[in-house]
Amino acid sequence: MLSLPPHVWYTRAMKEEIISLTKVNKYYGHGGGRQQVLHDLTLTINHGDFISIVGTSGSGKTTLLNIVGGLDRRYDGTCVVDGQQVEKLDDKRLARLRNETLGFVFQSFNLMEHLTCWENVALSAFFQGSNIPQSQIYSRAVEVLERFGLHDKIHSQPANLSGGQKQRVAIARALYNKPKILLCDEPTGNLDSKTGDDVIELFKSLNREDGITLLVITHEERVSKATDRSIHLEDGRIVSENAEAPPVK
Amino acid sequence: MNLINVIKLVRKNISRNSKQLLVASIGIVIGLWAFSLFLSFGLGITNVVEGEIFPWDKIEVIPPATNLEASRTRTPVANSSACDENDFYIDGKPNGTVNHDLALKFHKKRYLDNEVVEMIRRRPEVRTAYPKMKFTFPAVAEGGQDALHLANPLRTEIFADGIEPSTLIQCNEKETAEDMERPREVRQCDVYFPFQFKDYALESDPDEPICSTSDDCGAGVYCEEEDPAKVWVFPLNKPDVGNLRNRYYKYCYHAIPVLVSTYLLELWNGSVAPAHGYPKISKSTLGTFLGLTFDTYLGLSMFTSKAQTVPPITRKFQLVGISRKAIPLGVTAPLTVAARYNDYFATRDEAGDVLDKERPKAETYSSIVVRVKSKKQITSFLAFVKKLGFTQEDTNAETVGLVILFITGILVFISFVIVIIAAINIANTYFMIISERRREIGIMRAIGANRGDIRSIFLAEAALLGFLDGALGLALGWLTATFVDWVIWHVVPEFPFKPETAFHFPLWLVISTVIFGVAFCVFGALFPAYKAAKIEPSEALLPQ
Ligand SMILES: Nc1ncnc2c1ncn2[C@@H]1O[C@H](COP(=O)(O)OP(=O)(O)OP(=O)(O)O)[C@@H](O)[C@H]1O
Ligand SMILES: [Mg+2]
Repeated sequence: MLSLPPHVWYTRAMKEEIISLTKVNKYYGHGGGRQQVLHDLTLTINHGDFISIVGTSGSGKTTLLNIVGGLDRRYDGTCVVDGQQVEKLDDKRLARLRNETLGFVFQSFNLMEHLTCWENVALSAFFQGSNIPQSQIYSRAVEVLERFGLHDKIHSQPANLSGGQKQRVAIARALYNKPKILLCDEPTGNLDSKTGDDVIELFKSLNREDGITLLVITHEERVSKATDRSIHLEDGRIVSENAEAPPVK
Repeated sequence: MNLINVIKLVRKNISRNSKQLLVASIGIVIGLWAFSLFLSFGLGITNVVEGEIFPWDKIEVIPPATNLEASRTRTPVANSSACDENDFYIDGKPNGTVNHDLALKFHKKRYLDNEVVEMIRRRPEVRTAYPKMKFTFPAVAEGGQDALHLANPLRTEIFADGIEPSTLIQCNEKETAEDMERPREVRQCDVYFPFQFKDYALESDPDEPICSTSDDCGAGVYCEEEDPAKVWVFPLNKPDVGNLRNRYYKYCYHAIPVLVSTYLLELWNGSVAPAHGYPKISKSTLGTFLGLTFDTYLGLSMFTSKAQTVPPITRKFQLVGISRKAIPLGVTAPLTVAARYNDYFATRDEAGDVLDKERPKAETYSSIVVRVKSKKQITSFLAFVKKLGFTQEDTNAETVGLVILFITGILVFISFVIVIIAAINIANTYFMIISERRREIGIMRAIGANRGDIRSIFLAEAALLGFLDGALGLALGWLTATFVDWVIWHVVPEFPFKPETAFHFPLWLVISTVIFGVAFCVFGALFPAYKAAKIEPSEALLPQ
């Protein structure tokens, strides 16, 4: 178990906001085919929050996550992530924000099939600005993989792993650089309920023990129930913010 | 991004798409194969031409064309007569240091003599300079039936000249043995042991023993009728030779040593020998041809039936070496031999009696062969030659060099066209690969790659591919060259100047082939890489 990093205590005490969206509008297409996907979305997420985003298909969940994750900058409004205004960052700074502050987990795992597990996990080190020694890159990858019970899969190709294992590798990759925020798009969508539950437990521990802010898109109730708060999107609008009482720590 | 990691990533990427990339690379490899092969061929042929056929550093200084006669008879020019010869020596006495400026100013020479040779030798551009004197009378050679196993002797008109023996490399027994083992191009000896290249007449005792057959004389020495030209050298000893047609005595004379050129050897092996069924002269059989003697009729010609005005002289010539310094088509004798017989034929009448004419000086040369130190210095040396009032023998080397350059240029251009077209193929393949890897690009962007990183990954991949293509093209070019050399050497019949290798792969060629491979692959991948970098990460991550 990793000991609690100092910022966990700090954030829990302060309830400081880490993500804030103000009047975000998002359109797809132009001219007659122009379609508004997000309508005046305003949202605040604090340090250490464990939040689920629910809503019907096409309601704009992925679009919202892409904006928060700095993957999509073509929107109106303001989006501040970890104190940085996303739309004002240049390509390099935005890439660094994704590299250092954010982690992504996708429904379809999105592992690089031609790289081994540890190489997949260590990939974000490749894009870090400073020159990290090779041995350090490797040992960090092993450390994260071992934490998720994948010590025997370090040199395996992703093709030889089960769905649950693949998703754990993907999570390990997202956590490699010790991000503050983990953004997950249907992380249990391709998993059976048993392995899905394992992933939920994993997320819980990441949130509780490491103080990572989690934003999880899901359509599964058991996932949304596990979170502190559920944001319900409908047609690009927040229809309810069902804040449950945070569990006793 | 860290370089080692980029290389790792790129290597894995290449091996993942290896088949696709191999197909795409075929054009680049073929283009670079052609590039390295054509260019090395051009360089190899230039080496043969510049090294053997027309040595780049060789300049033959000759008297001005309008004044050919002057090379033989000394006709002082007007302004030189006003000037005392000793003026040209800095310390005012002969054999002192030549004052070049003075000499140039007052003494525009129309003939080549020792003074000119000395002036040329002192030039900083000049490595070596040696004078040549052509035989100014016709000659016919006869012989060779023993060496070539013929029923009748060969008979041919020959052209001859003379050079200073001191300018030749005369090898001893050990050096000769070593030299015979070397390939023709790098052979160093001009004269092979046990033969010597010198004018025996100059040192032999004027009172040679009288003989009746060659058996009375030693080895390499022949019993011959008195040499009337030799008598000319020692007038005091033989004052009353009188009418040379009445020769009563025979003397032991050493055969006159002569050299033939490597060119003549090539011509013999490539054209004469195959056409007439004569044996070729190879490295192993060279020894049997050395020492070959043939009778030479000096003052006789096969070209004209007109009776010679001066009675011909019969001498034995002996082949003692094969040299680059020898006259291309003919034989080269010691300089003083040429001088002596030129002298003889120029100053005799029909009866062989001495004409009452100013005798030409022995050291009036037909040309001076100069080797310059570097290509760059040729221009300044030629300027000096022009200032002296002389000119250079036109060898056509420049024309041949230009033709080679032109042909090589066209071939290299063609290979470039191939490579450029191939680069378009590379571009196509990369457009395909990028749409295949669209999601990966999205993942990398999500993980923290910026646009530049994505671009670099693809360009680095293309660079590595280009490096491999370049190396492969070069290796194929080299293999082809080796094969062609083998074919030329073992299958193609002998031809003049058949080279040991027709190709030359200098380091810069090796490096530039690889660099071109890298450059063109990177060029091909440039647009695709920019396109890949432009993809929005959110779009790249969309499910297909
Ligand atoms: N790249 C795109 N171009 C055009 N329209 C898009 C694009 N991406 C999404 N949309 C549209 O925007 C709307 C919201 O899409 P989004 O992917 O955010 O929905 P979602 O809530 O994630 O749905 P799901 O649960 O099916 O993943 C949809 O109507 C979709 O058709
Ligand atoms: Mg979605």
